[in-house]
Formats: sequence, structure tokens, C-alpha cells
Amino acid sequence: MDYKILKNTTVLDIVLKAVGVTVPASSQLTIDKTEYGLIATDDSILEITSFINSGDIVVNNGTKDLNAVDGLNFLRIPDHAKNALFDNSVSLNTAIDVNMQDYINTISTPDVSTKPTYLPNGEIDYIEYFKGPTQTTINRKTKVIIAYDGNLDPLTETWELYDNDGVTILKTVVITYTFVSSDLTKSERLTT
Amino acid sequence: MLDCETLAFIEETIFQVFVNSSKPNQWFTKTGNVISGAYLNNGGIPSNVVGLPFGLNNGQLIKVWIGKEDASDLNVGVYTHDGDEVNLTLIHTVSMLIADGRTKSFDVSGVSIAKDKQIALRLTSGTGKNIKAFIITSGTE
Repeated sequence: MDYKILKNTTVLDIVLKAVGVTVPASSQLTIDKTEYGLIATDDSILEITSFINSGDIVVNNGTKDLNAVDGLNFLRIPDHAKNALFDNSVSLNTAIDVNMQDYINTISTPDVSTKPTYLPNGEIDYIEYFKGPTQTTINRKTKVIIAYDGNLDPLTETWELYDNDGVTILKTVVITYTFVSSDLTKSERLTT
Repeated sequence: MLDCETLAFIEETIFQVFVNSSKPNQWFTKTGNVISGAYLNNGGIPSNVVGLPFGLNNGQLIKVWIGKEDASDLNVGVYTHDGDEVNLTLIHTVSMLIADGRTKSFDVSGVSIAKDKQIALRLTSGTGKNIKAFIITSGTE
């Protein structure tokens, strides 16, 4: 679930000028991770929107095809680190009136600011996401707390999703990573 | 007292050093598995959108180098345009085969580049992984 694949459902090549690529007819193109930022630009999104809305191009995340709305939102996220796409079928906490993907999208938009806090060894302790450039508690949407093992590999990411007061936790998502010799072998997510 | 020929040589040498030192970045790159139709980037921007600006008179394409991670068949086209693919024109094509390995240089002659054009490079056929290309041009100010 870590790819941005464009599937051309037509029998003609589709040229995406703003990205400088051609999606081959009845085939697909895997966007290189270094170009996620490029395809997320306004020009690129504007150009590709009509193809996606018409169904000529279908966005795939490496696991499944996305509908037009989710596909465009997925392409709009320029940061590789935020590209984990949460499954909309996950049962929702009724305290949040949007699903997980929508929530993640809200903190992945360009007008969101981030504030990392570092440990003495230079590793990131936690990252806070704020709606807008003013980094006050009332604007805080999410906090991601990272715990490390002895090799400084991340053991867990704890995502705290806040209510509008920036304090009340609506949902907590804990992602646990398993490393073998610093190679990631498993990740599990627990939502409470 | 230097003779005229020596003076001319020195002037030409100084001119060439000046021109060469003022050349913009002539690298074109495309990362990942690149398939046919992809334009190489120059300065992080697809070269069909904004290419390498060329501002010399009597411009000539002198050399093209291609380097990539894998050995593969591919053709790379050299284009000029006026920005955003306006008046996009193919001016030259170089070809690499698997047998050529991962790097090849191409001497080019008789290929003119008009002043105030932008230069773009495109993988016109074949595939390649992590492609870099470098061009040498000449001209007068």
C-alpha cells in the first residue's frame, strides 16, 4: 500500500504534460516516489482530474483501485511519509463524523503546519499537526508519538486524533512495527 | 610582441572559458523505472514544461551522454520548444542498445539550436532505470 499507480483504461496513450509522462494505452505507470511532489502540484492535479473523473485513468495504491475522489486525494498527498491509505471500511468511532481517510487527508493538506519535538539523541519524540500556520493547542489536530527500540528503529507510532479543542482525544491509533536486523518485517494497527 | 594568430588564440580561449563557465546546468534526469514517453527533468522540472534555456547565437548540439542504472534498449530524443511544449520540435535522436551497457556518449554534428529556445529530452522508446543525460552545446554570444 505504498505505490501511486496510474492505470490507463483506454486504448490510447494518455500524455500528462505537467508531469512529463505518458500512461501507456491499456497499461499502467508507476509514479516514482521522487515525483510524488510533482504529481501533487495544482497543474498536475488539474490536468489529471478530467481523466480520473471520466474513468480513463484509475489510481491504484498498490493494493486496490481507488474511486475518483479517493484517487485524486491520494495523488494530492505529496509526502511519501503520509501515503499510508487507511481503509475506509474500518469501523468508525462515532465521535468522529468523518472516516479515517478523510481525517488523514485533512492533516495532509498544504495549509497544515507541523511541529516536531526532538529527543536529546536527535530522534523525533513526537510530531504535532495544526490546522493553519498558528501552532496553538486550539488548532492542534493530531499528535504522533514515536517510540524507538535499541537500534533506534521505530517500535510504535501512536496517533492521537483530537477534537476541536485540541486536547480531547477522539481516537487513538497505535501502529506497531516489528524489525529484524533493522528490516521492517511486520506492522500492525490498533484503533481505539 | 605576440603575433595576431596567438592573440586570436588567446581571445578564443578566454571566450570559451567564459562561455563554458556561464553555462547553465545541462543535466537531465529521470528517476525510477522510466518508460517510453517520459520527459527527463532539468532542475527538477519536466523539461517539456520548462526546458534548458538556450541563449546563444549559432547554436549547435555537440555531444550527448546517456547514463543509466540498467542495460536496456532505448531512444532519447532531443527537442526544442518555447516553453510548455509550445512549438515542440524533435531535433535529434540517440539510440542505446543493451550491448552498449549503461553509459554511452554520442558525438553530434550539424544539429542547430535556435537562440532563446528551451531544450527538452524525452525517452521516445524503450525503457531505462534512473536515467541521466548530459548535453554539450556551443554557440556565440
